[in-house]
Parts: sequence; C-alpha cells; structure tokens
Amino acid sequence: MIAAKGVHKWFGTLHVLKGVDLTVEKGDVLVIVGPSGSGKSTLLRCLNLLVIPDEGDILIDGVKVNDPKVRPEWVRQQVGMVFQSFNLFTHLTALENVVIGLRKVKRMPRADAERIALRELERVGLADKAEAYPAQLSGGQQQRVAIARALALNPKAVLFDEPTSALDPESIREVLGVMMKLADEGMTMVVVTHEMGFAKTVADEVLFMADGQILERGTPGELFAHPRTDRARAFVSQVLG
Amino acid sequence: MGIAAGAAVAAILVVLDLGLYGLFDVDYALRILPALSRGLTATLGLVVIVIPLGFLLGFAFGWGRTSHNGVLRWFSTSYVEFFRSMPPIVLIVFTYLITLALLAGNERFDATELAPAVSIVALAAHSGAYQAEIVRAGILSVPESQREAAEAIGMTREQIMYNVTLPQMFRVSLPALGNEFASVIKDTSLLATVSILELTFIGVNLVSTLIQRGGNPDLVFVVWIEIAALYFVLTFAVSRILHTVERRYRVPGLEAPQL
Amino acid sequence: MILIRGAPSAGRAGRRRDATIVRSTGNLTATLVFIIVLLVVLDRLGAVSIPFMVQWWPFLVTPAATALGATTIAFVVGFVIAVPLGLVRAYGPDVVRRKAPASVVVAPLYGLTTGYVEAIRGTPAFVQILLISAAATRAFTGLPNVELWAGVLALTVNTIGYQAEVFRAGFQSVGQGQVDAAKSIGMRPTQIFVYITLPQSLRIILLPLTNEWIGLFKASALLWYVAVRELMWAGNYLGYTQVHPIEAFFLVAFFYLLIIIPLSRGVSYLERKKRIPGLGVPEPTRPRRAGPRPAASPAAPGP
Repeated sequence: MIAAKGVHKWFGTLHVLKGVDLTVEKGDVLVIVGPSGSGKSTLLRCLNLLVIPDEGDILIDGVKVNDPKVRPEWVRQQVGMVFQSFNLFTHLTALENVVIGLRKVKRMPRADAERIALRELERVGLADKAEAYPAQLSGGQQQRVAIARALALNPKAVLFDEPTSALDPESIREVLGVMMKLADEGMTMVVVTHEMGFAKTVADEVLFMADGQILERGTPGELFAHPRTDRARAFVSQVLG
Repeated sequence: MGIAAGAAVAAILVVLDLGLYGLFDVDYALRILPALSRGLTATLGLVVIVIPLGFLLGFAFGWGRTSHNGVLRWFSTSYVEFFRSMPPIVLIVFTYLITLALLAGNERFDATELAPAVSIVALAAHSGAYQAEIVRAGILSVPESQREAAEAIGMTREQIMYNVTLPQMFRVSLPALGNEFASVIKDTSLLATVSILELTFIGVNLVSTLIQRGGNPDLVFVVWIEIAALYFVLTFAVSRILHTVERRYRVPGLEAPQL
Repeated sequence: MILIRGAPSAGRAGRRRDATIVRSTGNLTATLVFIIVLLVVLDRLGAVSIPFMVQWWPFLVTPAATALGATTIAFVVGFVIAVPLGLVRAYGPDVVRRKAPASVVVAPLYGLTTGYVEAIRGTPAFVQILLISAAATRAFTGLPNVELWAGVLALTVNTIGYQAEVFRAGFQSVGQGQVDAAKSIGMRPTQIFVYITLPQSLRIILLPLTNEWIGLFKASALLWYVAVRELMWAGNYLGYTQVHPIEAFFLVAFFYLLIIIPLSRGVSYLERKKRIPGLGVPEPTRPRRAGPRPAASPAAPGP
C-alpha cells in the first residue's frame, strides 16, 4: 500500500538515504531498526512528505505522491504520524488537540468533531483527561493523546518515529499497549523503534538500516535469530544481549 | 552577515544615487564631516564615562537586590524601578535645571560647569538601573550549589565572588550588557538638549545655522541622515566587538537563555 | 516587604509555612511613605513648595493625555504594520532556502525589512524624531497640529522597527515540533500559522510588547523638543518658565511612575495568571527608548 522506490536524500553534502526501497502492505506492521544516524527517521519522514526525497518515488496505493501536482496536505491525511517528542499543541487541551485536525483539515462541524475526538481518546484510554493541557499530562499520556490525534483523521496508515524513546518504563508499557491494540485492529503501521520486544511480537516484517541503506529485511523470526550480514549480527547481539 | 553587508552596500548605493539626482548633497555631507567627527569623538568620550559609572552603580544595586538585608533590598529595588520607569530625557533635563537653580549665585561652585556634569551622572544612574537588572540576573543564574561547593572547600566570601560567581556571571550577562552599551551610545544623544557637546548637539547647531542663514532646507536631512549613519556605525561596531568577545570566552553549556 | 502567611499547619515547629504570599505592594507602600515624608521634610526646609505642587498639578493632565494618546496611536498603527514585517523576518530565509517561487519577491523584501529594522534599532530615537519631524512638518505645513502628527509619525516609524523584532522572535520561538505535528495532520501553511504559531506566539510576546509600549511612552517625552505639548513639555514649563524645577520634577515623576509602574506590574501579574501550563517565558530584559533596544526575544522552552 505504501512503497518507497530508490529513495535518495542529501542534507547538504551528507548522503543520508542511499537508494532505499520498502513496501508495506495493508494491515501490516513494518518495524525499522538500526543504529542512530542510519537515516531511519528521515526515511519515515519521506513517507508522509515531511521530508521530500531528492531522488526516487513514494507511492501510496500505486499513486506517486512526491509529485509537485500532489498536495502534501492530502498525503498527510492518508498517512498519520506520531513523534518521539509527542509534539502536542501546547496551547490546546487534549480534546482540542484531537479536534483541531477534524475541524480545520476535514472541515467537520464542531459537534461531530468532538464526538469523534472523544471516541479516539477513549480508544487510547484517556477520555477523562480531555480537558487537561499537555503540560499537565505525563509523557505516556501525552503520547497516547498524540496517537489519538493521528487516528482521529482516519488515516490509511500511521507512522511512528521512536514513539517511546522519550518515556519512562511504565509509560513505555502504556504506549506500546495502545500500539499493539492498534496493530490487532488491523492498522497499517510503520514503526521506527528500539523496542525489540515490540518488534518481535507485533511486526510482520523488520528492516535493518545502517548508513542510509537497508541492509537486511525479513520476518522478526528470521532477522533476530539468523541475521545474515555482520553489521546486523553485531546490532542484534548488542541489542538483544 | 552576508545579508547585512549587502544591505549596507545597497544603502550606500541608494544614497549616492540620490546624490546624483540632486536629492542628497554629497558635497555638503563631506563638508560637514569634520564637524561631525568632532561630535563623534565627544560622544565616545561621554560613553566612556557613562558606561563604567553605570556599571559601578549597576553592580552595587544589582547585588543589593539579591541581598539578605531587607532594607538594602527595598532601597535597591526602589532605585531600579524608579530609574527604569522615568524617561531619560526627563532625568537629564531636570537634574540640569535643578542644579542650576540650587547653585544659582553660588560663588564656590560654577553652576554652568556642574549642571551638565550632573546630567551626565543622571544618565549613568539611568543606565545603572538596567545594568543592575542584568547583574542581578547574572547572579541568580549561578546556582547556589556553586557557592556551597566553594564554601565547602574553604573559600572566603570575597574569594567565592571573585573566582566562582563573577566569571560565570560575566559570560551569561555578556549579550545583555553589550545591548546596554549600545543603548548608552544612543542615549548620549539626549545630552544635546542641555548643550553638552556631542554628535547630536553638533547636528542641532548645524541645522539652526542652516535655518538662520536661509540655506537649502534639504540640507537638514543630509545632516540628520549622516548623523544617524554615524551612530549606526558606532552601535554596529559595539555589537561586532561584543560578538567576538563572546565567542572568545564562550564556555559550552554556559550560555544565557535566548533573551 | 510584608510576608503574609497562610494558616500554619498543626504544630508550631518554627519555620513551617503553608502558604506564603509576598506582597510587593508592601514594597510600594513603603516607598510611597518614604516619598511623602521626604516631601514634607523638604517643604519644611523651604526647598520645595507643596502649595505650588497642589496648585499646578492639573496643568499636567492634558499634556499627559496627549502623551498617552500619541503613544497609543503610534503603537497601534505600528502593530498593524509590524506583524507582516515580523512574518517576513521570521520566515523569509526559509522561503528563500527552499527556493520557492515566491523567493523573487520575498528575498528583496527580507533585505529591505532587515535594513529598516537594523537602522531603527541602531540609531537614537531622538535623531529619528528630529529627522522625521523636520521632514513631516515641511511636507504637511498646512495641517493643524502638524508638530504633533509629525511626532506621532516618528514614534510609529520607531516602534515598527522594534515590534517587528518582537514578532519575529515570537514566531520563531514556536518549536519546530509543533509545526511538524501540524503538518502531519494535514494543515496548510496558512492554517499552521493561524491556529498554531500565532496563538502560541501571542502569549509569548505579551510581555515584550507591553515593555515596548512603555518604552514608546518614555520616548514620547522627546517630542517636547519638537514643540509638542506633552508631559515633558508641561514639566519643563513649570520647571523652567515658572522656575520651580524641583516641584516640577516631583510632579512629572509622579505622572510617569503612576502610569508606568502599575502597567508593568499588571502585565506581569496577568501573564502569570493566564499562563497556559507549559508555555512559559523567561524574564525578558527591557526594551528601551530614547535609544536602546534589546531584541526582546524570549524563547519558549519546548515540551
């Protein structure tokens, strides 16, 4: 459903993405792992056009979207994103955070928007915190609201950029729980993470990235138990102990 | 930086063009330059007096603001709030008038010499209030733990101030202090109203001469634009120097929050 | 200072306080008392004449109103013009860097705006006033109260330079993460600015903007020199023409202090009250007039 073909990206003279290909089928969970600086986040951000590839194509349902004729805003309505630093709108309550996309982007009337927003907040278990401001919420709660915000727009897929890296262990469990529930419900997800447990349990496919390239790909079983490249082997042993 | 340079070049070109079109008398501009540079030197002299004086006051009252003594704190706070709320021109003109009035007919003190001096002190007191706030912010930015650690290794209060607090304070306050110095340069222009020799005063005289002699009234603008340009060069130089000093003494992690 | 303690919790245990409110109004009261005592003493000594002050203080009211009016008109007009300039300053470089087609218009606009702002902030307000007053009074000679309007024009030109910087800093202080998040839910750039950047900036720029008004008000005193009958002119009249400089100074000081101090305290208080948890702003330094100007640009600590 989402595909990247031959994607290259330079930041100045730094060649960050060196010809990356990936495909995600509907309902699949794709997890991307790898050392820091490997370009994982950049690749993820290419998928919703927060970063525009210098070469290559991004395709959603077969349609090339990194095309000047395609409005990036439309793409982002199809593909949502959850950030490492949550990025909730600090001047809005949790409910308003979720509502704003529905009202301003989908042009919904307020009543409908609030109904849907509350439903999403319930889905992540935070309906009682609807009137709280982000600063009054814990990290785990903020991230769950961020997930609700992304889900409210009913996207075809959601991208997760290290969603738990900024959280304490308890919050990590909360958020991963929500993500697993989402996966069970059949949401298409692309997740960049260091949480190997999550990858092993939930992923349909795992990509190992280093130095701007995808060095290995396979099911979690294959990749974690029998990594083929040296780089991947080193990484796996380091991370899984 | 490139943009600034480009803008400056553009400005100069614009002015020269205007000169070619007879709108800006470049000739006249050059003729008054010697007189203006005399004013510029005088302005620099004033700045050299006002800033250190202001710093002394600022340091005293800034420290007073953080004192444990309630009366000292009240006094310092009142000083700072008063001088920050009064327009500097009011301070300058009234200290001048009051000094003249009080010393009129006094044989020992020459009022006409003393009054301008008092105005200059008033300006320094004004700057001092702002520097006090900068000093206070600097002092507060050094965590209590630093002082405790210094005490724990047996330093005296003076040693702590000199070796621990001051160096850290200095780096944090540098940008704000530089800003204040540029402000003082601009404030000295107010001293012209009490006939103290400096750049703006020269301008005022040139303008009144032009008007009295019935000369070309457009030349008035030449005067003021040239004077403004000279002030700009001064403030620009100060901020550049400051930047260099900042970079030289930079300690990673010890930067002021982006003010 | 008067410390007001809330009801102490059970037990005396010395230093334990439940609620301690430091009233800086106590500070203010002490100062007022001090000034009144000072005045009375000086009056007894024959140095000042309280009757003079009592007789003449109404004379300052209309000029004070003129000063307030001139300041506010200049401020409001300046506000309207400075917001788009702040926009250009904040987002101009980005537009150019992205090589968007609008760069053709934006790049020179950015250069001009930067030149304008730097010129205003790098030169004394006094010189600006002298220059613009000379030009405006000549250009509009027939106009009634032309000196006043020329002065207002000069103040406007001045405040635009400073307000543009306040806005620029405000817009830029909204974290990139906020903008990324807004993009990721499909908001268009204009929407992002109106619903995310602007509301967050407004809370951040409130204090610097008020300080700017105060600075402008202090600068209005300079209009005295170009024949505008405002507060400083009135004080000078009493001090010089009526030969009571000390009394005049006290009166003028009262007016300025009474207007400025409550205002700055009021804003600090409001700022603290209406603060959205998480949208803090560190104490900015003051922007000043008759000269000075720091780029009043507090940064918002990100989440």
